[in-house]
Amino acid sequence: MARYLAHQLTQMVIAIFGISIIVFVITHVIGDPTSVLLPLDTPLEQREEFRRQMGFDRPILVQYADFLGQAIRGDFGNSFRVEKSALSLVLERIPATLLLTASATILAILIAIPMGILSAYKRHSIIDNIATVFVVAGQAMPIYWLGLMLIILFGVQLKWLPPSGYGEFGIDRLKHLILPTLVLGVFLAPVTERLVRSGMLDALTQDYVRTARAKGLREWVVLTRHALRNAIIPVITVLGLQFGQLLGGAVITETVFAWPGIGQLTVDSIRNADFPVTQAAVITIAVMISVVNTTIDVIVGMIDPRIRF
Amino acid sequence: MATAEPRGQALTQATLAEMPVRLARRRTLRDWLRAAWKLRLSVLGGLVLLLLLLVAIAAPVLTPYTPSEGRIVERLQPPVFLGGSWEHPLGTDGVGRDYATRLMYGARVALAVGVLSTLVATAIGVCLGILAGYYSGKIDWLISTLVNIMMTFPFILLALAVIAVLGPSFLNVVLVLGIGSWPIYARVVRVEVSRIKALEFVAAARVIGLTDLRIIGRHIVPNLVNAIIVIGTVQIARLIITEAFLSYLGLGVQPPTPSWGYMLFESQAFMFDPAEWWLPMLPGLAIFVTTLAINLVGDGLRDVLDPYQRSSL
Repeated sequence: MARYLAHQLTQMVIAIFGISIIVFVITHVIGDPTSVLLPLDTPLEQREEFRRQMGFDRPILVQYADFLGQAIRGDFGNSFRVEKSALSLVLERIPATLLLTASATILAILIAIPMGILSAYKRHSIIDNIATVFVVAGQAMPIYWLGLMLIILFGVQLKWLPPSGYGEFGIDRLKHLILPTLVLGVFLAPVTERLVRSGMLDALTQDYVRTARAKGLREWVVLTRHALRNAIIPVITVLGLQFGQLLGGAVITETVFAWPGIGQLTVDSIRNADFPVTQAAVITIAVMISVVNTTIDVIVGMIDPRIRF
Repeated sequence: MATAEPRGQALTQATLAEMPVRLARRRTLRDWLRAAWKLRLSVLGGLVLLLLLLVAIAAPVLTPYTPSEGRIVERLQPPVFLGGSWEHPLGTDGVGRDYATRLMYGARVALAVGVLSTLVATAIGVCLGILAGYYSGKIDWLISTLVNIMMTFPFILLALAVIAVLGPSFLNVVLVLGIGSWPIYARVVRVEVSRIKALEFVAAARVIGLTDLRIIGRHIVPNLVNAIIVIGTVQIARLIITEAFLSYLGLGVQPPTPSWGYMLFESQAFMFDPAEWWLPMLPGLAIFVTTLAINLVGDGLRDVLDPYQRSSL
């Protein structure tokens, strides 16, 4: 177990390290930080002087080592826009993102598990076909457009729900949460439904299901206790590994609904050329994803010893 | 596509049952119709896609208007289904440009970006996938690690960051989407190549002294084509959705070139006007119909080309 754990942690460090290289290349090698920091009409000599002052004229590897050293200490510098450290700006956005992703995951599971069970149990029936339509449509759906349509329908025409924003803590917050959750849920549910369906299709042909039926158990018990329990393990694993994709969906959802999460902050910082915040946000997201993935891997490894070897 | 049969595969019951039919007689019209009926949704998707392609190509002939010039006096005319005139069947936007014309020209951008960036991604992904699968060892570790990192991290964020740094333009969008989405091909190709590599015909090719390049080109690549086509189709749809999101943020293809995503962005100004809900609805609907059609075609291709579902990896 210790060896497995060490291996997983090494993988995690490599992943975060890799992302830090990618971020550094984007901001320092492809892009020229001075072109963002200085006004457009700055003369060339002044630019060169500024590059020297900021250390941008040093060899690229030295700059990277510097960047990495500071990043490890959580020091990404101050935001260009607000007089605050970039990391603190990022960290205060995390709760909003976790709230949104958690509620969307719950919604997706609530849709996907019953739908997946039914469409596997009644394969090629009307229910299965409806589920397939839902999955195909859901995967083709540009979720930002779905968000806009929901805002127009429920926020503007019917006026049932607030069109965007975060709201005050309490009932108001929940009202603001409904539409973004729906959108992100639709993003996540199709994949989950397919996983549950294929897992159930597989489980239903197994001997233990036949044995359970032969014992005279009620069909409901066979489905939930025997088949679903086995079908759900890969679903949890894949959902965990999909956390990155879920955050990608959250970036889009938060932007559409002005939901003050880490995704919206990242998009804003990119549009405002606020490099310290972009770097802090991207690295934070990478750490979040790595921690979730590693945790899932370790848990699965503990449950199923075959995976450890 | 006969060259792409998985030659080393043991014949299953299903393929054995099919073979006499294939060998005994040519396919008749009835066979084709039966196959088409089985794949009716994919056929429908294909027809919609063909129509979209025609509209995109023939846009200048189909409309008397240009996408970028509008008459401000004719602004915000409703579409026909909301009581507008046939002069502007889908109404006009906030500066009086014909909405149908803009949507048609938008199809050009969407399809061009989708296809071109998919080609870029395929080229990179297939090459790296072959390298990783064929040579294994350190190079495999390096490529696989990169693939894993890129596939767990939300690609949209990196795409946004790169576009913001490089500046938005058609070429940059194509390159960024292509460079950001190659890992899926590399992952599938790597697994396939390391599977094929172990088969007898590759060993035989090696025994008679063929070079690696020739073995890869002649004996391995043809066996990858089906899987690549299946992934590529679905990827076109994904990249169209992503391109539209970039444009929606103002980081995609730049105006005056009309793109669906940018139309969505522009229409947001009228979102809180209860009468103008159709403005944001139509461009999004265009995206949705396009990606739906492509995905349906992709499903059909998967059934036909990839019966073992390897590309769903």
